[in-house]
This record gives sequence, C-alpha cells and structure tokens, in this order.
Amino acid sequence: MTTPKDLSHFSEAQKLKAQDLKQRILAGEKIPLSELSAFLSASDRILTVEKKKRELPPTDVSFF
Amino acid sequence: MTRPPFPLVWDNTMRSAFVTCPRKMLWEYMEHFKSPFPSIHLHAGGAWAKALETTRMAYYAEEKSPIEAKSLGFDALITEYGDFECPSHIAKSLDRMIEAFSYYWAAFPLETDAVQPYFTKSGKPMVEFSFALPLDMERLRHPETGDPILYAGRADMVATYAGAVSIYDDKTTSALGDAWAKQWNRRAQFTGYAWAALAFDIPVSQIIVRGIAILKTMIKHAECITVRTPHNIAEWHEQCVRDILRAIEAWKSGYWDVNLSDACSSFGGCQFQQPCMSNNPLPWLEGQFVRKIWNPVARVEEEITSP
Repeated sequence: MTTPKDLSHFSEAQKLKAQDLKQRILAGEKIPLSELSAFLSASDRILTVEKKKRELPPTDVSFF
Repeated sequence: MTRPPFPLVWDNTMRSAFVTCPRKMLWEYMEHFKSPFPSIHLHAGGAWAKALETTRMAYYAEEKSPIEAKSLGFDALITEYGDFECPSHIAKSLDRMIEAFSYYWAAFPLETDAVQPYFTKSGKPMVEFSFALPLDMERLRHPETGDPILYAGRADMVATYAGAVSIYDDKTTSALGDAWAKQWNRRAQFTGYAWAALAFDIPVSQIIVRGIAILKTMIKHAECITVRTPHNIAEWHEQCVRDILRAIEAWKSGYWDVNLSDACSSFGGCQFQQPCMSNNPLPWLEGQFVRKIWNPVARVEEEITSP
C-alpha cells in the first residue's frame, strides 16, 4: 500500500524556501509577488495531488 | 466609595468574563489588570485572521488571481506574526503557521469554495464585519453618563452558503472532534454577531465555523454549521441586557460576586487566583500584572502609561 505524503509538513526544499522568505519579510524586504506566487504554487501542486490521491479508493490494499 | 469607570462599550469577551466571575471582570476589564505575558494563542490567532482576511480581500474585492491573493496573505501572516517567540511546547510557531496556511487553501480552494462572501448593496464583499450598536436604548444606559451602552464585535465574514446568509468565523485550535463542533451551538459570540447583522437588515440565519488544528505532527481541518433562530437571538439579547444590568448593580454597590467553583481552576487556573485568595489583593495585582485597557471596538489592548 502506498502511503500518501504527510500533507501537513513541507518537504526539506520547501522548508528552506519558506525560511528564506520568512527571514526576508521579517527583515522588511518587499518580496516580489511572482516569487511568493512561485513558492505557493509549488506547495499547492503537491498538496492538491496528495489530496486527490487520498480521495481515490485504494487499489493496492490487501484484504485478509 | 471609589469606583472604576463603567465601560460604555461591551463585547462578548467582557460579558463572558462577567458571567464566569464578576470579580474577574472587575479586575480585568474595569481596573484593567492584564497578564504581562502575551498569549501565544491570541497572537497566532490574530496573525491567522489577518492572513485569511488579506487573502480574501485581495481575491474578492481587488480581483487578484487566487495565487496572487494567497501570496499577499502569506506576506501578511509573516508580518503580523513578526518575531514573537512561540513556547517550544506549543505548535503554533510561525513555521507551522506557514505550513498551515498552505494546507488551508488546499483544503478550501478560493476558486471552488461553497462559502462565498455576502456583498453589500454597494458591491463590497463583507470580508470582516465589525459593529458597535446600542444594546437596548430603553433599558440599558450608562450609570454615569446616561448614554446607551454599546455592544461591539467583529466576525471574519458575512457569507452565503447553500443559499443561506451566514456568519462565518475561522478558528485555530489544538483539537478537532465532536466536542469542538458542539461548542458553537450555544456560543454567545456568534449569536451576538447574528443579532448585529439583523440590525443592519442582513438576513443571517446560521453560523459557519471552520477550524484548523495545528499540531506538531499533523494539521487537520473541520467545518461546522449551526443555526441561529429568532428565538435564539431574542434569548441572547435578553440575557445580555440582564447580565449588564447585574454588572451595573455590582458597580453601584461595590460588591463583586466570586465564582468559587470550576472557573477558579479550569484552563490551568484563573490568572487572578493569587490576589483573589488574599484579603489585600491590591499589592498582588500591582506586582503581578500590567495595566492595559482592552478596546473592544479597535480590538486592541492599549497600555496605561500614566500612574
């Protein structure tokens, strides 16, 4: 059985990018909307794919 | 007898404090003794509300694309949360809130959300609904000035859902379940919002509450709908008037009842337990608390700087 990715945690790469954005915003930098959008779009894609996977009936479950 | 000024504006937090323990209400909202330690739950909840409001305003009022709107909300979340130090045993750190923000919009996508803001006649989406209204012009007057006592509040949104006009509120929590959903059925906070909406001729009949549980190991979400009938709203109004009339009587007599029951110990214990146990509470109050005035209209605490 495949285990869906934990939807509530970012990957390591996402975490690093989130840290970078957080530090820059807290330092007062005005982050371009395109950069924030790119980060959130990537997160959205992962979450949406995983959400759909969860909603599909399992195909590889062994019943016994 | 020296009396503190009686509040002209009341909100649900103040009424709730009074019905829990009149003495707690006196110390916290009339004499303005507040904990010197800011609450992580209030701080994180405030940043969360700001992030969602910014996102929705950008999407529904400024007609930004969903991703642009979320980007603005993301920025607002971080800016609002700031460098607040989250205690290590609490899950609502800024890092976890950022993950929760991303999770929330995957759970409730802007483009397909069945909950949509209600629009005013001028075409403005009612994302954020604030009000301050006289509670009862006939029966409820300020004991010093004679002005009508006002009731203030702020809901996250007036929305439509399945054709019904609704009060909508987002909550952050640490647990979701049956008890989480049931707690809203009788919650005065929401009945007061429904009362205020009806006063503006907005035909609200139900409440939608969305909860997001931010835990160290997972994030979960839930949604609950609870109705507010005209009977519920009339009952709330009568109770609220009666409670504030009792507060006026306590203020006039100078005697503030104490709970002496579960409220003293629930949720980790009342913050006023130590002064409350003393026959001379003032030194405890002055030593352990700072003085800040809660402004129920602006929904901020303002430090009292003069002695």
